[in-house]
Amino acid sequence: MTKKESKSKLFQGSLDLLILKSLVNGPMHGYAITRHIFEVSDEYIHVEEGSLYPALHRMNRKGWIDSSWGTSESNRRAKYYKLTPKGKKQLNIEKKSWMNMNRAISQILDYRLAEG
Amino acid sequence: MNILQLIDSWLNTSDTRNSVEIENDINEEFQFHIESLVQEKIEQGLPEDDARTEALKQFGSADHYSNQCRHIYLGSRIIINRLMVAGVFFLVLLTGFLFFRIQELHDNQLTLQNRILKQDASLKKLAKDNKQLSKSISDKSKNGSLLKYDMVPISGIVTDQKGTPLEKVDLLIILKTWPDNKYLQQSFYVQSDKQGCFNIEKQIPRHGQFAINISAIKNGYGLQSAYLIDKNENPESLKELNFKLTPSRNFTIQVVGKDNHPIEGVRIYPAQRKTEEGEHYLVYHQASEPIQFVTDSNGEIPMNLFSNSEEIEFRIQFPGQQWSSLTINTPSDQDIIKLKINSTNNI
Repeated sequence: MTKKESKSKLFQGSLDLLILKSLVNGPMHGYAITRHIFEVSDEYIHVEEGSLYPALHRMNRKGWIDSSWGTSESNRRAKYYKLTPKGKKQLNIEKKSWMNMNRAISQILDYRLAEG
Repeated sequence: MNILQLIDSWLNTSDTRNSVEIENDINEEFQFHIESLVQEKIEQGLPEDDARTEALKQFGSADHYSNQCRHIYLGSRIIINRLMVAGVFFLVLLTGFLFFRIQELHDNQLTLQNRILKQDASLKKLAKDNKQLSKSISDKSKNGSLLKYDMVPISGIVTDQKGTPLEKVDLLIILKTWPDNKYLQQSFYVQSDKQGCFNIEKQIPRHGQFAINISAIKNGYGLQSAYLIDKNENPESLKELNFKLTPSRNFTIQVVGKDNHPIEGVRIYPAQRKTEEGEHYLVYHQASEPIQFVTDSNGEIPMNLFSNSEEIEFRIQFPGQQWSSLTINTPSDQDIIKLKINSTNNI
């Protein structure tokens, strides 16, 4: 599957869930988040930079994540994001919502298969 | 996000960075990301230049993303700032409006105060003038210069030759005065009372020129009159106007036409009387109405106001015509004086 295909299949609203879930493991900078999602998804999901940073700053603004400047593994100054308690609660909400949606979609798919 | 949330977000933010600081942070963050991508491409075997080109191409429009991010932080502030600017502008306008309104009210108040002050000054001046006038009147009253406005009555007694008071004597009065240098003629009519007295309250100015004619008329007595001009401007002399009437001879006046047919409704009054002794009495036309007689169906009027051998001027008015004069001498041997008129009512 190409990157173009993965881009179009990233559900609306799922980006927040992926970012929040990525930060559960610890603080990350933006580049690391994209790499994490890309690698964990077996290179299936590539988060565009044009979507990532507005989402990060929006969640930072909402207080779901916090940011601070630190030093990267390449010894460069980088901005790290970490999950806040408020963000953890939001992650659970997003996760539950996603699971419900996933189950509903699966039921629809199963139903159509049964009819077929 | 509604306006309340915007305000709340703006007020509660702990982010005190200004827009330049935020933009620098974002750019530095993006730069790190791009450099990481470059490093990734190099590790994949691309030359550095190609790796950079590829990284930039993958990252996309940094300026566009930067604006998006900056707007997340500053958007609410911009709106709030714009609202504040609008609010300040509105307050400035409101202040200006209130200032001009207050100024206008102040000006109106000043105008009103000035008007009140002017009216007050006018009232004070008026009061002062009134005070001066009152003082002037008071002073003039004291030295008598205002006495010319004071009036004295016209009064008198009518008796016969023996001094017996004559009641119900017609007194026809013409008073001429010149108040404020203007001619004024007034007529009055009174009758004497049982004591023969007559009185007209306060008609003659105490000071100032005047002339008066009083005619005393009673059937059975000769008509008399008195004409007085006050040369000395002393009406006190008129305080008592006494008449002593003498008996008259009774006769009748008959008005007839060309064919000796009596004429009814002719109005006649005696205007003058000259006695044998040369005494001259008169009745003013303006005062004559009470003694205007009208001929009956026989064209006759009893006339008991004259004696023998006297010259009498009658004033005669035929129905619907002007007054005309007729002078006759009283006959000593006739009881009826016949006045014959021609077709054109000439006597």
